[in-house]
Amino acid sequence: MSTELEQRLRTDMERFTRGVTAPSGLAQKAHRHNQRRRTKIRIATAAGSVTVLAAAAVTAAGVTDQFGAAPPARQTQTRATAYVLSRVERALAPANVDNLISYSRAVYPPGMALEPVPGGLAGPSGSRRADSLWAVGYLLHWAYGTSQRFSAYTASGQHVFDMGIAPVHGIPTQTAVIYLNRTWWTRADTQATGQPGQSGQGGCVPTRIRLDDGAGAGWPAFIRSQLSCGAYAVTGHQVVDGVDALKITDPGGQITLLVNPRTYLPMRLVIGPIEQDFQWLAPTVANLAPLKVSVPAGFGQVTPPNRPGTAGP
Amino acid sequence: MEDSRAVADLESFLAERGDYLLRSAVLLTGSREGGEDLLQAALERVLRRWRAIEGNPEGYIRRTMYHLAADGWRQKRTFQRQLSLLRSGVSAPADDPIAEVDLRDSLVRLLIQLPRRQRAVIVARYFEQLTEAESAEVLGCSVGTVKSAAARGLRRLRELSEPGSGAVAAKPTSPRERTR
Repeated sequence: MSTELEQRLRTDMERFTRGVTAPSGLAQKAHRHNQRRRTKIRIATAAGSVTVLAAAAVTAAGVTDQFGAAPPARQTQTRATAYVLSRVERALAPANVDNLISYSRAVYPPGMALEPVPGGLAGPSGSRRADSLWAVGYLLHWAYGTSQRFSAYTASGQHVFDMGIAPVHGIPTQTAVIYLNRTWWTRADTQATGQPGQSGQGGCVPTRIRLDDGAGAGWPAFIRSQLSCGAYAVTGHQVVDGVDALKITDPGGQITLLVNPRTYLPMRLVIGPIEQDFQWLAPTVANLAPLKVSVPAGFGQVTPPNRPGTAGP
Repeated sequence: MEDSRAVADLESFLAERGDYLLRSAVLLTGSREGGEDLLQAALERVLRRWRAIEGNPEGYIRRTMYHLAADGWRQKRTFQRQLSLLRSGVSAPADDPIAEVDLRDSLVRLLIQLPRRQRAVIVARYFEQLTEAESAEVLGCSVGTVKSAAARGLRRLRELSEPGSGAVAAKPTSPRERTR
């Protein structure tokens, strides 16, 4: 350790690996892998079929080391196949992500209220703040393409309102149905909410994530850009629904996003006390049906409130 | 019977030294996920030769791990995994982004950009603090090779760490890259 560089290197390596602990059961796992490998080799030897020999070659390619080398020709073939497969997989992934319906359920703490207003959702203001009409226990959200729907319920499951944004004759139109006073309103030329990351500032600053941010297509790009420029940071892992999700937080620690490491789609978003769980659904007829807001018979039409939507809840 | 004894022996050894070996493996591969894979691969090989190992197995495990890391084991392992994942219809996991983020402003980030053998020598010399002779033994090369690889590696790290070097991306070296 004579130079400053060597000292820094040593310190950095210590720091980087601090807290790294070996999971238990490594020897048992190694034993199981070896057993599987032995079985494969036995099958390959006995059967002699082309398919099984290829499987053995795959195994051999992975275990080449100082104890024995795999045949070069077979390795080359294995690599070429894997290369093509990985290319195909990569090419397909973005298309799949773009064509998914985002479905989420956000759970709110007691005392939280939401009201549909022109342009989105907002917390009731002034004398309406204490109005129990807008108390919300959980909010369901669907988004696909340029269409979105929000359905708000009280904690006990009573329907509070539905709000949808969908193009009508090419014009984005917002429709809100208020269940507790049996009214509804509609408004054309709504400024629909955009893709994640479009709601805040551009450039490399932590962009605010809103709970009513748009459908799936923008999420992977948004998360990648925010991470790569350092606005948000990966701060660990957390298992969500059996997936070892990446934990991404904003510099202030107010927003936590748990992201599927394969698709970069969010699995859970935590903003302060509000927790929102995501599902990504195929655009089947059944899955697309909830995006439409319908007005129940007997509900009276009213004019939209004057107050514009400010931000997501 | 003999197998289960070997597994039990290895388990108790890992309870003592597993963390330290994994730390080296993480540095050799540049990510937690890669480190665990590397250690796992080394353990599989060592377990197959368990009966032939006399005394403390740490040297064998370390040597196997370094050989695998220096010989581009990861590439072979990745291909193997992609094929097995394809069969089960699951896509391959992405590289560990935690490593990329945690490496910001760190020399470890630059370490990933070194050729594999240079990186292995740097880890052996400056993390494990092995002597040149011990490093040569672990890597299966001459002391002269260790000396030159360490010197080249340090020189490259110094260049990369200098302001304006343009080294910003923590890209692993090409699998085909070899120590000059």
